[in-house]
Amino acid sequence: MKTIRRSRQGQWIEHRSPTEGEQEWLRMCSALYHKLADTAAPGSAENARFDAGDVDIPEFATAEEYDAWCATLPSVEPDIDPRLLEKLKTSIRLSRKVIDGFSYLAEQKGIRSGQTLMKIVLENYLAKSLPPDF
Amino acid sequence: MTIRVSRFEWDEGNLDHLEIAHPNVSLDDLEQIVLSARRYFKVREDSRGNMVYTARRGNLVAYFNIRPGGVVRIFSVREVK
Repeated sequence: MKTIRRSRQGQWIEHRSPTEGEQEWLRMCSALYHKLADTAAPGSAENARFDAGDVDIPEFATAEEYDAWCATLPSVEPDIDPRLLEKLKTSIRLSRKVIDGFSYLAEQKGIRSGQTLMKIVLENYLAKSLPPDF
Repeated sequence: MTIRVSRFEWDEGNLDHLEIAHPNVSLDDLEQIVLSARRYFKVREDSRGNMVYTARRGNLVAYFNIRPGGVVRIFSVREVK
């Protein structure tokens, strides 16, 4: 099937649906990309396995049982960026439309509140934008 | 041995699961588990070769990976009494 779409440069370009062979190739490329980038595609089967208990985690009824299990495991000491330990409150003036927009999207995505989504958006933006050694 | 923690990662993959399974636990609660722990315990590697760590704060137990650059991705939470 052929479709006509406008490119980012404003030109009209023709697309056709990929064949089955091309779709398989695209899936392989996507899987390779996520493997190399150490990420799983959102909603992918790989991510679902990863998040839904890829590791067999034993159940513990009490904290004591859990602590006894931990005592049998190797451990590491965290070296935490001290800025993570300092939690601050800030206020920002936003239009009703922005607030409503975040609330709407949070509901659509099953996230509890617009503010939670704002936190995620802010952190993801920083992760993409800041230098790694910041 | 120490391991660096520089930020948290929240994406649709881990967030969907946590929000549905633990609606009463906020992201801040989850981050505090990792930030307040004196030691992280190594559970084992998952099928993708990532080490799974665990830490407890009060009655909440978190399971997470630490990716290169000290990126913590919490993917599971359990409650104990």
